[in-house]
Amino acid sequence: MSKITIILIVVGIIAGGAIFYSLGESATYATFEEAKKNPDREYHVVGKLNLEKEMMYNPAVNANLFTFYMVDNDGKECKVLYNNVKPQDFERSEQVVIIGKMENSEFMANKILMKCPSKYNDTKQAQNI
Amino acid sequence: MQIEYVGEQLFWGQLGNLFINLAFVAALLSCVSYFFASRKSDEPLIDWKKLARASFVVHSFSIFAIFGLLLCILFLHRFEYYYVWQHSNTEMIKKYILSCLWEGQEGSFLLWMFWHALLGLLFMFKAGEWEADVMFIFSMVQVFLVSMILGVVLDYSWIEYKIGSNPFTLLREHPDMLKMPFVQSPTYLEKIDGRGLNPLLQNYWMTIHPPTLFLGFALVLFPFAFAVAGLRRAKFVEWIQPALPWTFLAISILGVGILMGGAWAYEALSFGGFWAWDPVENAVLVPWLCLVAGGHLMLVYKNKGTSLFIAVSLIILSFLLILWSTFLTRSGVLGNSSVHSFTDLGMTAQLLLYVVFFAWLPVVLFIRNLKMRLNYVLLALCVAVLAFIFGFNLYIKIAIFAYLSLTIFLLVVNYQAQFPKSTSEESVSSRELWMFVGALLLTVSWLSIIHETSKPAIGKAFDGIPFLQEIYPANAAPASDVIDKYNIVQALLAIFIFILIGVGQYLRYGKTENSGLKRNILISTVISVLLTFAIVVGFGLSDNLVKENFMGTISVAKKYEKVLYLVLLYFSVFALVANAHYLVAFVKGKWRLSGPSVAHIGFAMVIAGAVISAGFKQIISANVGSPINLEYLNKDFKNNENIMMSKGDTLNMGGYKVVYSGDSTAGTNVYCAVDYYKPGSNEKVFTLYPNIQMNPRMGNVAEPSTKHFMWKDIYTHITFIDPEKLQLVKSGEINRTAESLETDRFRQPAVYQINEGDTIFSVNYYIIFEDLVAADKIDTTIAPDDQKIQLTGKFKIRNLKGKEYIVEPLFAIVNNKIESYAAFNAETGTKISITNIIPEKRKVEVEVSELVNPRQNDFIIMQAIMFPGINILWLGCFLMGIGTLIAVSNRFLKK
Repeated sequence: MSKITIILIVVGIIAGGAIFYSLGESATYATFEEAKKNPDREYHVVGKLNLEKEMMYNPAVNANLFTFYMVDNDGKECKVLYNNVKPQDFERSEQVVIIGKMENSEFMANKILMKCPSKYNDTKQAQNI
Repeated sequence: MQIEYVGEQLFWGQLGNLFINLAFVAALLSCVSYFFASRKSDEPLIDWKKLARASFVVHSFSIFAIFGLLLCILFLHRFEYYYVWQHSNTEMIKKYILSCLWEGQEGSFLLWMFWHALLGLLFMFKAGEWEADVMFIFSMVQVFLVSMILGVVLDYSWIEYKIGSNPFTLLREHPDMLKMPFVQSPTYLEKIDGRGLNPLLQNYWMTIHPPTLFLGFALVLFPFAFAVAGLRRAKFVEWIQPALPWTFLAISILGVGILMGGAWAYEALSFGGFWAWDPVENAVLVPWLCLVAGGHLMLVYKNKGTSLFIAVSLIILSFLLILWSTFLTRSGVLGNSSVHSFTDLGMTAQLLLYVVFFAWLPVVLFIRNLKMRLNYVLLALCVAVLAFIFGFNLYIKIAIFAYLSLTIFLLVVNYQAQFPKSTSEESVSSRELWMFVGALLLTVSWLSIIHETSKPAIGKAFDGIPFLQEIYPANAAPASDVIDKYNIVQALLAIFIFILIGVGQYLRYGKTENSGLKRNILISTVISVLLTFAIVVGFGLSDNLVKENFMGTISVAKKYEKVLYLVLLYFSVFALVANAHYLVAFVKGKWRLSGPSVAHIGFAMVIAGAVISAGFKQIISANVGSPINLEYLNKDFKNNENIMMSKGDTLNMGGYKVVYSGDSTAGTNVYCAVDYYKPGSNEKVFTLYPNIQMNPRMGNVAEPSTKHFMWKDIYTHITFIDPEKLQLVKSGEINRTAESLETDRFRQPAVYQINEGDTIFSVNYYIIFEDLVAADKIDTTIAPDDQKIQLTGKFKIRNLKGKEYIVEPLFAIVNNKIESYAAFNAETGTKISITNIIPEKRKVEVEVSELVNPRQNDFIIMQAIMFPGINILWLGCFLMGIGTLIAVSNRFLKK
């Protein structure tokens, strides 16, 4: 076997290892139901903020805890505890993606991604012309 | 009924559309002409080359014209055009006009085409024998790009599709606006203003970063076109020499563009860093890494005649990866995951076709046997037509897999048949061998990054295929744990790459004997150890190296993360020292040859700087004094990240005494002044002004404020601020400074005459007057003998969320004199007093006043991060840019 072949095999194994490592525990999108079944796995849950229910952010008590209620794409509602400040314009978000784990019927989120109205804004803007 | 609109200037759009169509046709004509020009025929009927050149010139000038027209309508605020309306407005500062031009998809495609046109013109007349072959590919790419801004609608029974998105679409003809009422109004143009540029993009970075990046993209097309032309002509080797300068120019400019993105993120955005492994960032880094690998292998081939096939493959892949990144970022397939998510313009099919076509083209041109080639093309057309008719169901996907297998088979066959094999055997101590290994490691690096980033797209593609679906679920999300998935893997690979960068410089091209090699490595090692030790001690990097295993959840990788970073730091220092040693000892002032060494030094500093500043950053805004320990709620929760600062309060943070002293406004921004004092003294060291840019349409944006020291940065940004407080500061009603808190200032009181049961509406609350009763508690300050009437008013203050507070002011008449005792509610900052009673009308006169500066919302939540040694990173960026440019100019001068 030429040296090149040996090198290629070794690097191939490294590459395989890297890809394999990245495949293990891939993050997935899920609903609250699924997250409940696997409380140790991290999930991305997509849904909408429930504006009817109480949102609590009390910085004087703890600036790093924000709670709210969210409804996932199956229509199920869950209380979410987010380990950070209340995001700007949170009420205006059209869609929210939370990342975290379910614990005792409450979702512990460590990251939030918000989709803010853009097309929606355009048409709303236009109506005021 | 045809509406006659007033004030519209339609000629801009008409001219624009003319040029778009012209650009498309001219590119197509140029492509076809170059195809014929590149064929060897004895007596061509037409001078194809001349025709091709003329068409390309026409095409280029059309592109410049489109660019100019778009700039005009933006400058003149022609809001009848959707693009102008969407990306600009009248109050915008003129200097951001270029940013508006490329804020949208159509504009950024135009920018890309602009560079291609310019570079194509330059290349065309200087290229010599390669002109036709390279320009053939070049103009083909332009055809695809122009199609992205065509805006042609196919509306037939068998197909409904819009090809591209036209920047000259009229506002009133845009699909989102068709049903809007203003479309019916002939004078709508007088009343509208644009949406404006996104506040995040209103800075000089937006003016320089996209053009640099797109110039980088445009330059990558050259090595690709050369490589593919080489495959077509079976000139597998000759393309390298002319392509080399372009390759390294692309590496230089694209690299600088990527680093600019990082600098922008750090300076003006609030993610708290310069690199977030965001899908859009990754999508651009990956082609660059691939190009670096490919470029170095081109050098290896030039010197030693080995690694040709991998060099060709990597160069071709670099351009394909740029197209893939274009697909990922513009198609919306990563929609749920990236902060950069662009609006999905519905161009997914077109973008995918763009990638697939140019991946397919090199294979077609590589197949030597013409019959085989024809069959391969026809087969592709069949699969495409079937996919179009039946959609992407399971059978079509299987057919695509079969086609891909066929492709690999054909590649192998043609490689065996025609590709030159390297004859020399690799010696272990030759530079080429180790450069080859380095290129392979870079490939593992970029493969793993793009693999992780593309998972949602892969998952969607494998939807419905039983086995693959398990591995790549359709609901795959991009990694949220970036440290684990990216930092650790990339750090491990980088360690080995730096060993190669360091040792590689000492090895000579082609030589197998290296007399001074061991000595040189020893020198560098010793110096590196000392230097690393100095860095670790100087920056205090050895504190808290191993992470606490709180509640047993931390992975091994995370636990020893910082140790890994220190190892990486050592090897990056080693690469730096080795290259510096090489520069001093062997290059000796011949600056033209210093390019690679300087570039490598720069790169080593970039990584070393990144490791020190990001790997060992400290979040100094610990939330001290919080009564709740969040870690008891959930083992993954951290307590300290954000700190609450009320105006006037003093806190200890990061070795300073910090005071939030006041607010100010300028333009659309609200600045919060935070003073930093030396602890235990009144000596103010500096003040930072993190601010909020207010934009009611697009949401407020927080901008950081950073103090730059030589060996560290203190970076602060506001993470939360009460929206009500923002409004009050902006409007000037709130007290600006902490001093004025001493005297609580009330707004002008409002006076009302009300009956029992009435409700008063104040700024933020409902005040309900419930009852007026005899005071049951006698006020003992009034002398008991004096004639008195004492009454208590019962009021309820209710806020918008329904929370209620009870307020009971006292009203007394003592010896015919009115004495009124106001009641104050602290939570709402409301003071109510009864000033008079009108018994005949059963009315009561009430005075209501509110605190201008209610303390409960006069605070900010801030995050402060100390980044050690970040200037090393910036210096590295600078050196890398210079080094690559020196190397490039050396190549161009050599020619």
